[in-house]
Amino acid sequence: MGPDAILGLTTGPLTGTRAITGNRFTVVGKSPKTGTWGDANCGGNFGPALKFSGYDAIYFRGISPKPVYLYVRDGKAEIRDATPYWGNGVDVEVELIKELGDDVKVAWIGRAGENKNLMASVMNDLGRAAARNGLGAVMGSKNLKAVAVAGTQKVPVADEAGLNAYVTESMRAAKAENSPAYQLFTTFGTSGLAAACAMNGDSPVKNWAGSGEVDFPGASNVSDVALDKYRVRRAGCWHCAITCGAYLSVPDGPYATSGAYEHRPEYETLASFGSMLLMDDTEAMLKVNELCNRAGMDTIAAGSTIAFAIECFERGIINAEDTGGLELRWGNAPAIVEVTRQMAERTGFGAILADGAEKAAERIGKDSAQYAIHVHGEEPGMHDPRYSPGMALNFHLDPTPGRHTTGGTGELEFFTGLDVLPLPAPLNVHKRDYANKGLPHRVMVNDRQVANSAGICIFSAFIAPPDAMVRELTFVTGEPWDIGRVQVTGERIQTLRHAFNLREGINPVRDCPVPQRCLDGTELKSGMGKGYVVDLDAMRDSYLSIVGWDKETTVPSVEGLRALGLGDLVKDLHPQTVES
Amino acid sequence: MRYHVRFFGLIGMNLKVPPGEPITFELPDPASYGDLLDAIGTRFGPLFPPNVWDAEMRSFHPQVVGIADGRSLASAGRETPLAKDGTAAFFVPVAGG
Repeated sequence: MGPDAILGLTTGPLTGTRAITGNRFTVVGKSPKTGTWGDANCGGNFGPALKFSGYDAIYFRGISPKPVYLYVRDGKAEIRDATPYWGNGVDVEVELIKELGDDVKVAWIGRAGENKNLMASVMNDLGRAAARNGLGAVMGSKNLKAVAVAGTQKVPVADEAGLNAYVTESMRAAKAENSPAYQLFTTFGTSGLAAACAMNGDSPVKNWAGSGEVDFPGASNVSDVALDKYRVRRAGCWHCAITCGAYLSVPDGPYATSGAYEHRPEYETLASFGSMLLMDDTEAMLKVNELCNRAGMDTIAAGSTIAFAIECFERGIINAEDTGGLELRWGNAPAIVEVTRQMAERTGFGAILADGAEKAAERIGKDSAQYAIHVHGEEPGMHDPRYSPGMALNFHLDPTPGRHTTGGTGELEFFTGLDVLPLPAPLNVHKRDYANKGLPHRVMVNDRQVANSAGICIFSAFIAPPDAMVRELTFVTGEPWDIGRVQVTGERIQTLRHAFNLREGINPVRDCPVPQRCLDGTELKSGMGKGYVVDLDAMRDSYLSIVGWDKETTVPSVEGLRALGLGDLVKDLHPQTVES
Repeated sequence: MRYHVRFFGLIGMNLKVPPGEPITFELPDPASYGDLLDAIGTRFGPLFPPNVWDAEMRSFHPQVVGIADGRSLASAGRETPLAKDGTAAFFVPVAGG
């Protein structure tokens, strides 16, 4: 978070085009939370507006002496005073739109970013989060409150007529098919299966020590229908036909929300504050979601860190004197809401937790570290590897440790029956066939790296044909794309992300272990991971063999780097080769 | 024998039953997965959309995930035995967020 730190807001070639779900942007930088490569991909409306302002990406370096925001319109950029907005959450977005015009879209940080909390997110669209890796703290460290963009620049598309015809026909077919997954997403979004995921063992329960409804019987209270009672209206990202979001409101009571701006909690939030904390109070769930969104705080990290604190409290490692009187017990909604508020403001016991479980354990000391569930400082996504073993490989090997949205076989193990890639034959993935995970993991990771970089949503698989991305990249760039080019490009991106970490001295084999509690299901009483122990070493060896990375150091081979067009990395990763 | 089934999310809504609430079926003793599918089809078949329930095969569409007695039904045949007083669940898989 020093002045030399670089923070980027980037788009892809499909962002701002008619490509299906072409609305994503990615915040990039070195993560202050993990010390690794950091990126956080996000929907909403900011990405397309950044393209319309005349830029593909904006990078920041240095530290402003006072709070500022960047205003970009049609190729002209201006840094303006943000002192009046410092201390605001989502209000900064509302106020800047009022001041600058209805066409302005805003990426912003809330109190968590201002306070440089290491779980701070970059927000946009009234509560959509580029959540992971603490990149909001980097933005806060620069005293950069917001980036406001607008314009009328046209995003170049090589074959606009072809793209329009393809997207129109694909949407018509998807709506005609009206698949169960599409229906579910348009009705409930990712909240649609929170209860089922808690039951089947996908959701971690009680700080990863439990599983299934035996341990969390109240799951249905923080899922689909229970949340839908509070729905004000649906809300989708820019030009998205799925529209998986919604605005909810709690009109009164102790957890009354602040207005009509509160996004419906996503699955990850419902698990991290629900099953992880055994909190089944619907209105309290909506309140903590509002607090996190307004503060710009990663809900996975926040809920997981509170789970760690509750386990410490329940085990007597900390007590009410340490917590300022908060009774941090499983399912105690008032205390959970209050400590969430304190984390955003970095006050009280919340200041101990504000940087994540690893840092909190360092501050608490005693025997607490064993209950801090993280991978190299990042709390893992809410998908239990004992249910989807491939998730452990993402948590372990992805250059952003603990990540759940970078493909991998975990996704295939979950999305049974969905054709997500245009492959000549299905990827046969068996959950417990650990020694053969390498190839399907490679294929899925490479595909998702291209999707994330291209600027489309990984949920487009619910509506778009399997070959949509390659067709759309061809229409937009005017160059021939096929699954082979996607694979090579994706592997180049993944290798480059990994090389960043190698340069920083981080070797995942040594530095990014997945906690045994996430892998060992022998003590579980229910859930589909019961009785299994995930063989992460076998999965890792399989993948490293396939991609040609050294099994001990994870350094890619010279030949592999050159084949990917990354020969310029050889001098850094193989200095002896260059010398010889 | 008694056997319990839970339909989550949209599938439950199609049936006008509270998502996730157990529904009890009386099956032969011993019972198989095929017996359960027949019972579900008889009681709820017409209420399922065609892309959830295959009326001809008397089975769920491949996009529907099933679990019975803690084990996946993805590769289960109709002869797969069910546990007495056990539970199955059916849902459409989504994740992420």
